[in-house]
Parts: sequence; C-alpha cells; structure tokens
Amino acid sequence: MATTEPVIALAGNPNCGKTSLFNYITGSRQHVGNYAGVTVEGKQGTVLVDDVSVTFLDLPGTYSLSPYTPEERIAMYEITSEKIDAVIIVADTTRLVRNLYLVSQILEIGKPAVLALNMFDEFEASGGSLDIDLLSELLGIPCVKTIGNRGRGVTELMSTALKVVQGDLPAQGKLFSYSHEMEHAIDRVSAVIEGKISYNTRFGAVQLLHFSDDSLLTNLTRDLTEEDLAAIADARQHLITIEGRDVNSMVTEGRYGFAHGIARECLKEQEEDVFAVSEMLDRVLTHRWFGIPLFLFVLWLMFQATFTLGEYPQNLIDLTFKGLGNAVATIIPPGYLQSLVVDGIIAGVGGVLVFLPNILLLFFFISLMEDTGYMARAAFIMDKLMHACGLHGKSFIPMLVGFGCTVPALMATRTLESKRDRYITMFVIPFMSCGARLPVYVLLTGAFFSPQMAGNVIFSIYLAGIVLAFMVAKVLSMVVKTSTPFVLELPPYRIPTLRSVLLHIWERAWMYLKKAGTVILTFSVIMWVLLTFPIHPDSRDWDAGHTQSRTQLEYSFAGRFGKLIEPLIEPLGFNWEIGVSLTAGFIGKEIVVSTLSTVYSIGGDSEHDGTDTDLRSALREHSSLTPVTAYGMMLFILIYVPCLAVMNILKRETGGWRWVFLMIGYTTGLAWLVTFVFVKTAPLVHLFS
Amino acid sequence: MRTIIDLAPGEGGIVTDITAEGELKRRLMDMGIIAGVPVFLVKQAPMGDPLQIRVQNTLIALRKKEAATISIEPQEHPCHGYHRTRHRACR
Repeated sequence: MATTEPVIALAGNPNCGKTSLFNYITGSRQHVGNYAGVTVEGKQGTVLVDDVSVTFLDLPGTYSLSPYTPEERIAMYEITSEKIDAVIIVADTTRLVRNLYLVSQILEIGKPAVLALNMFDEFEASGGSLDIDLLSELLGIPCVKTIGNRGRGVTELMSTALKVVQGDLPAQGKLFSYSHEMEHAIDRVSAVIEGKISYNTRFGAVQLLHFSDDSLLTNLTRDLTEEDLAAIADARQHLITIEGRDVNSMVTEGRYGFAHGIARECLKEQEEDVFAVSEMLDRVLTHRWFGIPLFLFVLWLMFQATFTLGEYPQNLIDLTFKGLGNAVATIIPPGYLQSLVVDGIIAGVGGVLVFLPNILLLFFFISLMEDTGYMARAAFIMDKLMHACGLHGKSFIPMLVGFGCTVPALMATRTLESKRDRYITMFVIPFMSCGARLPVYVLLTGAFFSPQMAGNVIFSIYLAGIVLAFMVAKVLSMVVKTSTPFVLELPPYRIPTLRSVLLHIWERAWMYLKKAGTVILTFSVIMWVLLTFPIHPDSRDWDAGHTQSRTQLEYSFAGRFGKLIEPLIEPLGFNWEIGVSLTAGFIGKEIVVSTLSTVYSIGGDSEHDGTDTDLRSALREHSSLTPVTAYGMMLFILIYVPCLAVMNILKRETGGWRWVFLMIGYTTGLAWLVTFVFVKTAPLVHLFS
Repeated sequence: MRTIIDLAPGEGGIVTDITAEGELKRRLMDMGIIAGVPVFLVKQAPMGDPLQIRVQNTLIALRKKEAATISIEPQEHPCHGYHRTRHRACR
C-alpha cells in the first residue's frame, strides 16, 4: 500500500453517473483495458491531486458485491485488495436509499471511503433536501456533493479522497447490526476465521454465511481448513433453522434496514417524482401500439445517418489509401517489394480502416441510446421476440449493427450482462450479412441472374442469414441451459453529456486503430505472401506488372491450397479458383472479388468491383459456376468464417483463441452443409434451372 | 397466493415473499424487492412480456416467469396513471 502513489477505486450502482465523474477526474488520460479472462472493461487514469500522483480506477457498476456475476466479483475483489487505498462511492442522490444498500456493503469491508452525492442538482431541483453533515456522521465517512455531468464538486471530491488516504480525515465507516440471531452467527464465524482471511473479519463472516457455495468464495476460503468450513456450515444451518428463512433475506433486510434508517434521519424526499418526465416519455416510447414502430424508426434513422454521413469520410479514407498506394508505386519500382507494400499492406490495412467512420458513427448513436436510457427501453420492447429465439432483449441492437459491420456489432454485445446470452449473440451475429459481402453478392447475381431477379435473390440471402441466426440461437440456447435471470433496470431518462459520449467513441477508435496497425497488418502480409510465393520459375520472362497473374496464382501457396481443398468443395460445385478466392476471403469478404479478378486474369492493376461486366462474363464463361452453384457460393460466403478484423475482435472479447477457432470451425462447417444441401436439392425442384 | 402477474397495470401491493431461489432471488432482493415494500405494475411490454414494475423508486423490467415468484398482498392505492408528484407511498 503506497500512500506515495495512492490508488483510489470508484464504485457505485449502474446509471449513477459514475462514468461521467470518472471522465471528469481523469479526462483523456484514461487507459482502458480488460480484466484478465473476462469481458469486463477496466478503466484507470492517473492525475495530480494537490501535487500527489493519484491513480483512479473505475470499477464496473454493481448493485451489490457478491461472487456471482463477473462485474460484482471484480468489484468485490478490487475493493478488498491491498492495492486499493480508498473507495469513492458514487451515489445517485435522487434514489439514495437504493444506493445506500451498496454503501452498507462497502462500509462492512472497512476500507476508507468517501461518498459522492451525485446528481445533486436534480435532487435539489425536485425539492429534496439532505442533512449532509448528519449523513456523514451516521455513515462515518465524508460526503461530498457532486454534479458529475458538469464536473462540479470534482476537485473537492478528489482532495477529500486524498485526505482520507493520507489519514487526515476519519473515514472508517460505522458498522450496523443485523438481527440478534444473525449477529450471534457472525460472532461464531468470526471466531473461526479470525486471522485466517485477508479480508476484514466481519465482512468475511457475513459473506461466508451469505454464500453457501464455497467454490465461489475461493479468495476468502483459501486458508481455511475442512474443519473451519464445517464449523461455518454448521453456524449457517443453525441460523437458518432458528430464523426460519434463508440468510440472503436476513442480510438484505439488514442492509436495507440500515439504508432506510439513515434516510429517515437525514433525507427529506423530493416532492417531484424522479420519474415524472420519464413516465411521460415512456407513455409514447413503450406504448403498446406505437412502441415498436417508433423503435424501428429510430433504428432506421440511425442507420441512415451512419451510412450517409459516413460516406464522406469513408470516401476520403479510401482515396487517401489509394493515393498512398500510387505514391508508393512511384517510389518503389514495380516488383515484389512494391506489390508487398501496395497490394499487401496498404490494401489490407486500408480495407479495414475504411470502415472506421461507420464504426464511429454507429457507436455514437449506440452510446447516445445507452446514456439517455433508451437502450434499456429497447431491450424491454424486443425481449419477448428475442427470448423466443434463445436470445435476449439486449441482443437486438448488436444484431442490427451486424448488417453494417460485424466488428462494432460484436463490441456492442458488451451490454449483455450474462456470459451465455452474450456468447450466443456473438455466435450468430456473423449471419447478419455485413456490408463487405454485398459486392460479392452483386457480382454473382449480376453474372448469373437477370436484373429483375437480382434484387430478390440478394434479399433472399439476407433473409436466409436472419433465419439461420435465429435457428442457431435457438439450438444453442437449448444446449446451454444455464438460466440467467432477466432483471433490467430502466433508469430515468437523462440528457447525456457530449463529453462522455465523445470520450466513449475516442476509446473505441483508438483500439480499432491499434489493432489495424498490428494484427491486421501482420495477417495482410501473410496472405500476400501466400498469394505471391513461391515464385513461378518463368517469372523472369514476364513483364514487370505481371506479379499477380493467374499462372502465378496457381503456382503460389494459396493456389496450391485451393487445389488441395478442391475435392472438398467439389460437391458444392466449386473448383480450385473459387477455393482460392474463398480462402482469400479470410482477410475480408471484399477480397473475394479482387481475387476472382486475378484468377480469371482480368488484366492489370485496375480496380474491379462487383459491377464489372468483364468479370461477370468471365465468371459465366470460364468458371464452372451455374446459377445454382452461384447461389450456393453466396450462401457459403454468407455463413462461412467472418473476416480477420472480426476474428481479432472475437479473440479480444472472449479472452482467447479457443473461441475464435470454434467460430471458424462451426461457421465453415455449417456453410459447407447448408451449401451442399442447397446445391443438391435445388435442381430437384428446378430452382434457377 | 397472489403474485405480480395477477396485477393489472396501475395496480400494486406489498411484497410478502419471494419464492425464487438462489441467484434470481438475490438479484431481485438486491434491486430492492424485499418483504414489506410496496410494488406496482407500471405496464406490460408491447408484446406482452416482460413486465415493468416500480419498487423503492426503481423501475425494473422482468419476465413474467420471474415476476410470478414475487408474492404480494394486493393493495388499493390512490395512484392510477400519471402524476407529476406521485404519492410517496407509491414511489
């Protein structure tokens, strides 16, 4: 414990404005990371407070401290750990009693604490008043008024917290009593565990009585013997028998009793209902008949804005990278180095970065929905439909985002609290056909279907994706049956601070950029190597610009791989050329089109997109594709492995490669299966033939 | 035994017991649903599920299946519909 460089944690309920406060404290000096092995974000930042360098740690918002959910486990672990010198508890003053419930638990831990009475302006404006000195006295810790979304009270809060760490202010927290029998049990357990646990004895005793599943409290029970655990179980059982109810109820009632007691003494409640405005808004927004159409309209607006506004910066980035490619091409003479830099690195990285504006805009709107409180209403509205398909109300928006790009869609699944719901959602999001696949669909439908049919064909692919997603989700939800309760708070509607929203986006942008620069770069180079090497023995006789020709491609590793898997994809009606293009699709689905151009030797370096008539005729004449197998190929592309950027994000969000391999395996396998079934059954009903 | 799913929107009662177990029970109690507090059904979601309830100044959405585990003593209370300054007892 270094009081020379103290570490102070921020704890509090979700929706209490803790994040805004944290942002004001640390500004842009925050560093976002993941807690090891979990998908919970951890934020920290170091600032100077009265000439002392203090590190602030933003803990996940929790209603309680327990070993159940990842967020609560982390909050409990951090607060009780030696490295935290003090805790700032952020409370929503307009709902003080509920917030005091968490306060009571943190006081029990015994770590020095400060209470930030946040949203104080709202509280006062609606007619509430609070005797802060009395509150401070009753709690035993200093209390500071704050208005987190305007940064008021922040400096005072930081100084007070520092003084608490340095021991200049009393902040040990008053203890409260439970029922007589419970106190008796606490004494018994305390006697057993005294000196054997790293926590405060009383808190440890309460936790052990509360949570009978020892496997959850491994941190606590580490140094306890079998005898100790037996004695504790005995005390617990005795308590339950005597009181005639479970310990959970006793503990919760004790804590709420404490909270209500304090409120009675110091708090004069607001005249105006904190939900007055929210209720008005909800009459419309979650209206029985208008609620859903309104929600769909909001989403439509969101997508329109994202893709029309995003187009300008998107084109800009596209042009920049093309320009960069051209500039480099003038500096480096044609040949392998030029190809590596221009076709490999610049094209690969540029292809991923071009999505950045869309991702940022999508996240802007999602943040807006979260911070205003509308997101919870969206989950409330959509839950029935989602749940029937094995998903969760909160799955809806990430899935919708997936129609634009899978990368931000996966990141958006963070709002799903339950690991099971989150993973199932992440596993079906790739079937929401992303924007990068569209050029391939356009190419194939243009080549093999009439213009009148084209639109319907593409729509049917999208539909197939949606249906498949729901089916897979349903199956997965029946396999993984861990029940997770759906208990969602609908916070009062609030106006978000632009500052918070922008900071939110800035974090994500930075992470996306970093990943593009490292992992994407590496894999782009690897793919380039596989497509270019080994060098064809006759290459010396070719002209300089011929590095990527069909013959060369055939000879390369990628080409050989295509030949290798040809027997596997032959039943689907694909040959090695299609095989190579599909393999190249690992980087990004748009690459499928450019690889097809190379395979069918559609000349030099010019850009080929899905509307190219040369490419279309080449496909019709030279590839072995038919309308049926072309549709099969689209199905395959819809389902099979998502691109590099997605796999990278998946690795980060699930904390390991295991799930990535699983995703690759299951999507590719499913793709093969579905395509096979289609390709074999379609001719039987004379579909497309 | 009356539970929350027996309420119509606008109706309420006092919580008497929670028949859920383990994690669900804990979650409900942590959110403030404990014996002795007033609880009100605000509305149902457009598709009929989940339900939106109000308890201890908190709005909570929960599925009917889970709401059925919260037993209540129905109460007549004067608050139906929208009030700008809701009675303290009804918050």
